[in-house]
Amino acid sequence: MLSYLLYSPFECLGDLSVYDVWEWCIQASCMDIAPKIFYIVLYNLLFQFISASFSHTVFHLCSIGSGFVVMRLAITHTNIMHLLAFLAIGYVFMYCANLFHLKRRIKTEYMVVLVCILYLLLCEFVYPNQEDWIQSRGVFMIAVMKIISLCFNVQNGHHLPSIYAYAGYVLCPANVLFGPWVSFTEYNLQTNRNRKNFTWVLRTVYVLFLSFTFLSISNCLSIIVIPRLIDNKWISAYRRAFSFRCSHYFVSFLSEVTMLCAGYGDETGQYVVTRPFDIEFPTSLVNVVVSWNIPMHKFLKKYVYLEILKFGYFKAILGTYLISSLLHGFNFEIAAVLLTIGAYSYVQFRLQEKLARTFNACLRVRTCKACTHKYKRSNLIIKIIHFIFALITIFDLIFLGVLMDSVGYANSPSIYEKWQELDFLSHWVMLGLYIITFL
Amino acid sequence: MKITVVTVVVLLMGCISLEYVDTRSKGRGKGSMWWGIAKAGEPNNLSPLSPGVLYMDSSVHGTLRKKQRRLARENPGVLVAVAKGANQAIHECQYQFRNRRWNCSTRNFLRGKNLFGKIVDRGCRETAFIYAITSAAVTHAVARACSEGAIETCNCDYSHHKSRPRVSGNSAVAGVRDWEWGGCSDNIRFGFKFSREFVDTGERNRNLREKMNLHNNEAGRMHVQSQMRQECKCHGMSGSCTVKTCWMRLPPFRVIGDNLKDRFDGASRVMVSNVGNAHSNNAHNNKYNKSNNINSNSIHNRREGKGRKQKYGFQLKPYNPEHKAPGSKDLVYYEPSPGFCDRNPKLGIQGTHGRQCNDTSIGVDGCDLLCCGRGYRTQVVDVVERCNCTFHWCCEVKCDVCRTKKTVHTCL
Repeated sequence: MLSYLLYSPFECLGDLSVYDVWEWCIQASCMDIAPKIFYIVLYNLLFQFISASFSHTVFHLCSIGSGFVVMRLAITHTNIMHLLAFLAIGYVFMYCANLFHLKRRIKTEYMVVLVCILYLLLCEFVYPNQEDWIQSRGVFMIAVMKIISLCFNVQNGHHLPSIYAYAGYVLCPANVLFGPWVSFTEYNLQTNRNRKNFTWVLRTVYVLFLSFTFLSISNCLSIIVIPRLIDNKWISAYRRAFSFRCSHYFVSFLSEVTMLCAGYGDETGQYVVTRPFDIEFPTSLVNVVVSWNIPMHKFLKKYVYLEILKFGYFKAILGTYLISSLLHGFNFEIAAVLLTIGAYSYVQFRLQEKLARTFNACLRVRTCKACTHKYKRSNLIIKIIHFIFALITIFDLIFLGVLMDSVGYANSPSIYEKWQELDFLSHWVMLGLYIITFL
Repeated sequence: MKITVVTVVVLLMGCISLEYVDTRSKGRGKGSMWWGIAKAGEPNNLSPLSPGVLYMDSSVHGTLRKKQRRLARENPGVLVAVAKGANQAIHECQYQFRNRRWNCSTRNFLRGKNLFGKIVDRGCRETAFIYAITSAAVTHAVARACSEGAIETCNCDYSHHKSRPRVSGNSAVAGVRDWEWGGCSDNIRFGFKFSREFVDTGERNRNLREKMNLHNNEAGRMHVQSQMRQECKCHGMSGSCTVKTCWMRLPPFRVIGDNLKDRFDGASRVMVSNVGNAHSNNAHNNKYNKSNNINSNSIHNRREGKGRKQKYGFQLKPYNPEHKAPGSKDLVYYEPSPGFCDRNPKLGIQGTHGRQCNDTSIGVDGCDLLCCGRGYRTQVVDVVERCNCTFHWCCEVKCDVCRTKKTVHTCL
């Protein structure tokens, strides 16, 4: 019976058997990347154990060395050279800005932000080899985030790090490829991290398993044939969006693995990058954005949002999303996604704020800490309303994920075509909700 | 003196006629006797653990040519795959033609005769399909058996992954990955090459019929090869492509059957062409010709190189000069199909007497067309079948037995 289940072809798997799917998709895609991951993990472990027993300078040198080797595993030589040149110029620029800052007592960190972002834009639009750029965009993004945060730190009273420390920080093997962004202090903390024990091993293996699982789902989901009964464009769009999200979970958990292997982690021995559960079953778009990439959220909050909050709430939100999409090189799809999220979450925020005030109920976007409203979260009607908002959010995520699904592929349909295929329904819904806020 | 002349003439004539007979009957089936392997034993008995057993089977032995026997000997385990492939081909052929007048019947198969009957003596569409699907099935089955590790001479190892240069350093498109097939990439190559060696043994490209067979065999393989494709997906921070994972997409054999059926419907009729052997590298010069020596999993092959190229380097000429020359995936034939309505023992045609038909369809499976206007009989029969099957964890399927009345139409 078991062999029947394993080996007989199923219609829902496109006339493949379970074993076929395992062999031709899951195993093949995992085996394809397993050697790379093995070496990345190995170099991170080496980095941790070697650097732990030496001084700070050796620690940075270790970081540079293993970071370089890790990059060699995944990205091309040209890209590595490009990144190194960029980092060198970045350091020089940062040094000058700092000098200028000390002499003239004016804030120059915005200049660094501007230059970095301009450089990313330049690469996105005029870089001769687009395939190369798409490969290294993520790496550059992480590097730019690190440089920006370093700049802000320096001008807020910290010392300019030595060139070793700078290079070690940016090329840290734990996060040079897949992120996450870490602050300079966090990077330095590795040396006096807590003891490794059984839970650490267990957590690492578990996260590694999760990342492979999400990789398999992301790659092999397209094999499954949706039964004709429920097959429509929404379901298939959801599948594409889900496949993209799984790819993100894969990368995020992989980055957690590298972080753990390199000896980083909080007190509980974790380093949470993303929370899939909060994204798949969201209560609002804001929560999705927060849970999507928690370190990046921290970065944006600390260095962007709080910096421009003085100009007003709405501008701060809009500015944050704008900077975020600029950090992504203002790739059209990503920019469209981020700006749409910005607009949607603004609408959701306004609407739920209004509802909360009007009905004196716990209906705000973020769960209120000490709820003083008349109707608490436990109320059934409140629960239902939250559920409806969750459904709307899931629906919006279809629209956003569909765009992201094919970023980096040539001849993918345009944003307009993709949304047109789905009748712009999400936009109409949001427009409707926005009108309600004025009633 | 006169007598001797007469005898010489008679002898000569005899030789000529003998030769003629030889090409008429034996020549047709020469490369296709191995099909009989499908009926050589029940697939269940062909345990992959003892690959030698099948080879020893004398009934199998009889269907194979000398070279095929050698191939089977040199690649232990391959015969099981070939047998599996042959069965798959029959099954698929019968599925594709279940509603047609010719239904790919292998009913009157006798040992020593051709599996599909005398229809293969004609160079018609049906024959073209049979050759293509059997060749495709062998390619498919052998490639699969390879990846399952059932054939010792081709193994699926991932070690070449590391040795291969990861980055195409200073090529024109710098940075584009030098990505060869991942995983078990060589299996399809092995299947392809093996099928060429095994299936094309009897065909030597001497006459139109052999050219037709070669072309159709090759077309079947091309369909498998083109369907077996690599798919990749990018992963990285926010839609970047830091790592790329690739995997293989193995088509179910049904897809290949469907495609070949489409080609059957659009098959091109060809005729003898004078510029036949002039290396017109249109149709048959696929990459396997060039990459022969790259492959480490080579099947022992004595005649490679020039002779091989000549074997496949021909271009068939369309019967209708206004039509396009057949491509490498097209099926070709040179004789019109016989009528399949009535029984014709000479061609081994069963006729459509007693076939079930669909009285509501206006297509080929409809009673009007299938029964060739002879009319049909309608009966109501009791059908006993398994139904309401439910799956119980784990792993059991429980079904009820249902009795239903069904109306059955059969051709007169």
